[in-house]
Amino acid sequence: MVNWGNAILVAVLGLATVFAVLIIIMVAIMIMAKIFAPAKKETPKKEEILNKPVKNTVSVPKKDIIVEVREDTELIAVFAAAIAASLNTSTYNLKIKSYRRLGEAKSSWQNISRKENIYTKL
Amino acid sequence: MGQLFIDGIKSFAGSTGLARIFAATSSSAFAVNGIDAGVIIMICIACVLLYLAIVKQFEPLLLLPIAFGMLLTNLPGAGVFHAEFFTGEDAIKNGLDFGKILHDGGLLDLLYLGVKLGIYPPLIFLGIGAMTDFSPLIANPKSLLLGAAAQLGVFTAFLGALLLGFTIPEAMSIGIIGGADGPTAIFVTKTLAAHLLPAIAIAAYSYMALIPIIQPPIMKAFTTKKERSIKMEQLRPVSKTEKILFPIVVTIIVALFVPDAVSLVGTLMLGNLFKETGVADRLSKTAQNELMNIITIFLGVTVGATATADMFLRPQTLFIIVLGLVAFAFSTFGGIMLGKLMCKLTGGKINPLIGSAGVSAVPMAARVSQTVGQKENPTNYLLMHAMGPNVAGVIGSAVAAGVFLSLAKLFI
Repeated sequence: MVNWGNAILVAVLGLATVFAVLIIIMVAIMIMAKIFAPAKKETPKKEEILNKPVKNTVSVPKKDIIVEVREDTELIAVFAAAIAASLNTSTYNLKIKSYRRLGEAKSSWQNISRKENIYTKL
Repeated sequence: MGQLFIDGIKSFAGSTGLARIFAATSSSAFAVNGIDAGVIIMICIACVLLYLAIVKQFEPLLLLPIAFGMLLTNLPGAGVFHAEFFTGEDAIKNGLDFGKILHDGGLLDLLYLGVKLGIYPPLIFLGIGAMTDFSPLIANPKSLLLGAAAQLGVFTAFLGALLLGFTIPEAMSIGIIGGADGPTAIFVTKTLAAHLLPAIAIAAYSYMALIPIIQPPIMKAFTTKKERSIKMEQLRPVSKTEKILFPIVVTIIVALFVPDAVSLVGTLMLGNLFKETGVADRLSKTAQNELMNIITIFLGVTVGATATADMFLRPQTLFIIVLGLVAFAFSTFGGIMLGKLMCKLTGGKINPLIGSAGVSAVPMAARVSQTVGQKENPTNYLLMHAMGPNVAGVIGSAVAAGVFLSLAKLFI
């Protein structure tokens, strides 16, 4: 016959230990984040995308004025390549000063491709 | 000369598997009119599992070897596996007789030593660690709470199993199904209740495959439409130093508090360290590909091989299958409820749907959160947010396993 007092004690003690250990790990990660997290550069600058040396300028609607500048060289390289390809010019002729996400993807094509992209990374 | 020929044929016919099925001795528990029904039923079950693995693709990488192991072990006379070496009365009383296993054992007896001695599950964890990206968890450490809450099912099923008359060590092994983590379930069961291994392993892996069917109704029942459509802020980028320090810190903390969980969490973190440091690329690749695949084959086939008729065809197996479902349901419920609480406390910044991903089936549970969230709002992307609780669940269930292993010592 099972001693129910013991059984409930095991269940409560077990769940409490799981919580306790994971909370300790959580605190450790938070402390680690304080020390080692990449510094955020939040200097809100109002700039426009410029396309200096070349005559072609990318026309940007006014509301798309850029707010945030972050260091993300990889992403900028991708942008530069994409803009260069669509303007049929070289990346050397482009100078990207800042970028910003334009709201949510509205078209279902965009949504599907984003979903596929995420799933293939898992 | 003629007599010799007839005797030869007779002796060959008597040694075939067919003869053993149709001339079952009365020692077989399932002998009906001299036919060993147990063997026939087990072969049918193995074939059904093979069908599920191949056609329905239920966790085929595991279910296929498990089902085939089941088939091999139940073919009469093949002698590839001897359950009595490991769970017979002698073995339970005096411990394993390694000399006998090495001398008389078949192929699967030898491979099963890796399960019995607790070698395979940690090696699988090594591979999982090398494949897992912990950055969503590091970016949002509160996910760990959800990973802990989703262990609720483990303890609920534990109590449920006691209600149904299982002993405490057996109930612990059944409860751990709620951790939704195959290797962890096997690791606990082989230590505490080896005779339940096939039923528990099959229940754990089948329900993991069924997560997309089990979870959504529970997730929808306990959340409002408004909560389900909450969009979460983008996660912060995580530095390489944090990613490298994380496995080291977690191993030290777990080792200090739950030493019994170290063989699982320690190897998980070692694998992750291989991946994140970038200096041991070859080791990382081996751990997540070749080593993991080899161990999966060994583990699957041998766990399947433990499913002999007299071990598997018992009412307990049905109880375990029901309790497994209870465990999964309560784990999902626990995660969702804490998610709701966190949603309230943060003023609606956390979508409670990511809570259900705290059950550790990676990445299925996170995908379910994403799918259910996207049904409410097609432009909502919860996947990366759900990966946090998801990988926290792996750590959580390993810790729960450690807790059970250490508490069980009081009852054995």
